[in-house]
Amino acid sequence: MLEYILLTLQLLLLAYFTAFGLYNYVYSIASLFSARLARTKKISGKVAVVIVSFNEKEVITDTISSCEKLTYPDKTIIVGDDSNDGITYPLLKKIAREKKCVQNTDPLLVRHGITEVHESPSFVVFHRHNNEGFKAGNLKELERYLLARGYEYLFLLDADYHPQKDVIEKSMEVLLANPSLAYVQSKREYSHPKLSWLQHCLALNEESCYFVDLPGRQKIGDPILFTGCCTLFRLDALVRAEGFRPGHLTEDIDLTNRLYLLGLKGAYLGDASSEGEVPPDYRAYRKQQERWTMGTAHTLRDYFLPIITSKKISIKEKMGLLRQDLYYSSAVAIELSIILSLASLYFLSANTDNYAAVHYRLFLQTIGIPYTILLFAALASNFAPLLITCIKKREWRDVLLIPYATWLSWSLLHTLFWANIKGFLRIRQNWFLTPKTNRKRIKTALRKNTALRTLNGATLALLSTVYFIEWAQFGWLDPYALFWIPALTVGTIYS
Amino acid sequence: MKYPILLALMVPMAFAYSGGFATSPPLLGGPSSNTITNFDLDTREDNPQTIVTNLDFVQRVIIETATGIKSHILITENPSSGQLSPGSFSFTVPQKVQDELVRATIYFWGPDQETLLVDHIHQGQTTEQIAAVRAAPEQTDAQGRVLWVITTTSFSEFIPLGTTEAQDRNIIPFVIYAALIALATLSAIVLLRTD
Repeated sequence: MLEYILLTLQLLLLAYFTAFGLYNYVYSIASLFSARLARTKKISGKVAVVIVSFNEKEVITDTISSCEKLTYPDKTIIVGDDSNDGITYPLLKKIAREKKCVQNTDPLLVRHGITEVHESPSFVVFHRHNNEGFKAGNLKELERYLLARGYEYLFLLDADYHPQKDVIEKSMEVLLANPSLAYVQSKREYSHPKLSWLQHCLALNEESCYFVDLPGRQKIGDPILFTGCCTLFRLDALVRAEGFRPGHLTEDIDLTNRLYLLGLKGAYLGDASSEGEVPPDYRAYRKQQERWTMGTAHTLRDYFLPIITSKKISIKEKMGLLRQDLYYSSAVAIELSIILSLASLYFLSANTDNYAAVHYRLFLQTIGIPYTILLFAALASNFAPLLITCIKKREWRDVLLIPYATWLSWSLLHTLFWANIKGFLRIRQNWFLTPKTNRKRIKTALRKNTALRTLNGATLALLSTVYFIEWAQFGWLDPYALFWIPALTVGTIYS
Repeated sequence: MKYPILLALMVPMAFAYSGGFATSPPLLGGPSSNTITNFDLDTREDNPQTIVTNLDFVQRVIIETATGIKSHILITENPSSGQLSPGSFSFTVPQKVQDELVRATIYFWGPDQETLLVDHIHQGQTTEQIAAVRAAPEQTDAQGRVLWVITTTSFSEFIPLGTTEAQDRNIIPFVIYAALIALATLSAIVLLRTD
């Protein structure tokens, strides 16, 4: 009986990893062919360029300056600010004064004691006195203001992004050509000469989303993720979806699900990009990924059943949305497969039930070749998007960084596992604000996580022992040692 | 990031139950790799049941049980050129078959020689030597092997072999691989630091 349980679990895990691998391959190949987007030259409408800011003193001035270079004429730059550091908001008020903004206390626009607005025709500072509901709370509050002021479109930016000058025109050409589109997500890039090697690897991982994943989805008609910024929205579509959801750790995935469940869609525009920042060091990166994972797991719990039962989206779209919501769950599957492998090892070596053990071997012998092929294909699928990104960018040096980028991701195994659990159980968490450095090399003051380092170290020791036994006992040189030992060492030292 | 599944796949291949029935010198003409085959067992009141195989060593087995049993029997054969118990075969059955077993008569292909002793290895017991006899009428296959017969009253709980060869393992590939991993790890530590 035990052999059936083990085998079933292994096959389920293999199916899970293979499905993800298949998406990686399909998107990688599809991304090599450009998708044709319907466009119109008849563009017009009042656009709010919203920069979300929470204690972003390092970057906010430069971001405002870069937004002023946007060539779309009918726009207003609006900083949605929640800062409480005593520096950023005074800085923004100073900029507002320079731009001849005046404070508006109209109760239709502001809520006394909660928000403050300083506005001019081209620039607005919309300040909340607290950061309740995090970024989405800010945007929800701002939504009232935008509607009252008659804006039709919202171009959303995080505080560290410098947009391409004509990104609004290009996004609007696509948005207005298709009435079913709620938003157009444009490309985000991270590379610049001052990056550390760690940041180069993080940039490679991030950019694979914009050079491979999203173009691939666009090409084959899968749902396009709103990735949090550099996105042009129709405000009326946002209102239909009840806007941003205050308190959510990944308000972008949450909103994407709700818009698609309404039958609306997104599009990806690869020929207009904005430049942003990646986390400055390992700890900031780990905390950022932890937040993203918690939010995504939360989203999975909220939307799994609505997606399955929805009659407004196709099966293909359902699968695409579920793949998105399950994206970070691979950490859980990997932890399960580690436990499963140890259980299998014990089961086979303890020699308590010979028949079951040999029967189990028979099953594996029967399915061995396709099983191994699928397994390695799923493993190799991790590299496909990174490789295609290097090829599309013609950044040949970055090919050498692929192993390091992979080790970085794998080093977060335990972090992402617990983040999945916390997110799925909706354990209340605070927003981790990824430090912005305005492209300077600054080490953050984030504290080391001793418990996590110990756990990573223990896992490293356990797996190293297993690898050694494999060789000493059976003569195997396990290829996975080349992945896990560097990854867990990085996780142990830098967490 | 799919390591553990591979481990689970490889583990059973290594923990082969290569006990069972072994001769010296090893049987020849075996499979190219360790193989396991499942045979249905259905002994009813008209015992015994004969299981005819198309395996490399085992030609057929006649099973007699005290009561009727519907079950399975697994036969494992090891390659003649293998490192672990070369040219041997083993039987594995569920406990209920073992409990009900009266006698098993095993026909297998062995060398053409006067006598043949078979080591029947059981867990926790000293190896039992069984004298095989030539099947009557005598049969020879295309490889010149002769059909031999042994009988036993016990199948299960063969010991796992193959742990004694660790001392003879070539250490050079391991050292090279370990050095590669150490280099990779060191480069990752250096490259990914941010201070």
